[in-house]
Amino acid sequence: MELKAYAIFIIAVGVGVLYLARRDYLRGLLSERFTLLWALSTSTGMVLALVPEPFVALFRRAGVINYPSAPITLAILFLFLLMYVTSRRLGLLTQTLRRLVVTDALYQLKLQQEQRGAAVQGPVSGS
Amino acid sequence: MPDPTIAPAHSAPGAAGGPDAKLGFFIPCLNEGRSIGGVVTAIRRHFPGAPVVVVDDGSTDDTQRLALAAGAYCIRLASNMGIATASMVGMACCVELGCELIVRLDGDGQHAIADVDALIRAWRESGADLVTGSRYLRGETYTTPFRQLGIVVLRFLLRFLYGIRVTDPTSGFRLYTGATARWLLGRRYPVDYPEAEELADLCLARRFKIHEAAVSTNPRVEGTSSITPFQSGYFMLKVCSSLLLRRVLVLWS
Repeated sequence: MELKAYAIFIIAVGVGVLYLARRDYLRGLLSERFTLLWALSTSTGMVLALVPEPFVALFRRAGVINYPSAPITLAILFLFLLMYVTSRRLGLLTQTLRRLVVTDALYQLKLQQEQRGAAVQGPVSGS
Repeated sequence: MPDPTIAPAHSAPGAAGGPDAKLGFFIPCLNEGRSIGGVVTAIRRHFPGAPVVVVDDGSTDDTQRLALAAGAYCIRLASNMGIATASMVGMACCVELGCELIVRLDGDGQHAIADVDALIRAWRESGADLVTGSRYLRGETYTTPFRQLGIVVLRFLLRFLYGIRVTDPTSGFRLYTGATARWLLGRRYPVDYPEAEELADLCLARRFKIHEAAVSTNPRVEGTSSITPFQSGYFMLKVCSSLLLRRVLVLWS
């Protein structure tokens, strides 16, 4: 197993993303699903970086020569970071939306309580 | 109409969940128009005065109208948001209504209302913060072999990862104390299927007591389950990975 510079770089980025995903999960910013996505994808990326030979053969057969080359690696890393930022935003949006749903539900409840109160009191007659 | 009060043996008068604890119900449901009226009526007959909150998770039938006609509060969600959001909304409404004992049940009529007494009795005797109704303690196995396998896997994971021994981890028939409900709502409530994840969260907090009570399950009289076999498999995958991940992340932290 040959540890090249790009492999060290990918592993460092993978560990960083895993750390960020864990931190954001514990803060409630990432859902389990996205955290799992990050855990699986970065782990796979790190394995690919560490043991490239079988995967290089696969990529070569698929027509992608010399994987993992620098441009492809950089493109994958860029995609990783883009997806990470997007999923974090989505996590925040989901939490915000759920809070709004609860606020709306409590408003509906209050309205129904008022309607029941009004029904019990009966119609108000004018003086 | 007077508020129903429950007199537990273990609680001090005036304490949260004490003798004056107010009982409330919430029912998350989707297209249960054929059965929801009967379920609400049965609850109101058995527990007169107890507020019943039906959370209509974007039904396309007349669930909302029938629930309101039967005397429940009915919260209509803007679209179908899933069982977790519907449960969270129902729980929040019961807390808002001042309920200190909150019972969740299904809208399809499969949960016997008389078994609520069994949940309350188990809560009185155990002093638990969450009592789940188990369909298996009486030896009943009404479900499909595939779901049964899923339940066995979840049982194993909960026991192995969290040390919780429950026979029916996916049961939606459960009783929360007000404090438990407020704690669950105060943090990030599970996004997908909440039953097993609630158990895991309460276990990780290390200050909640979980207990099981034997309940019966009526066969579904009307309608069909909204969960398909494919969804069951997907559900299992998500819940198992979530339970595993939670444990790993908490251990890591």
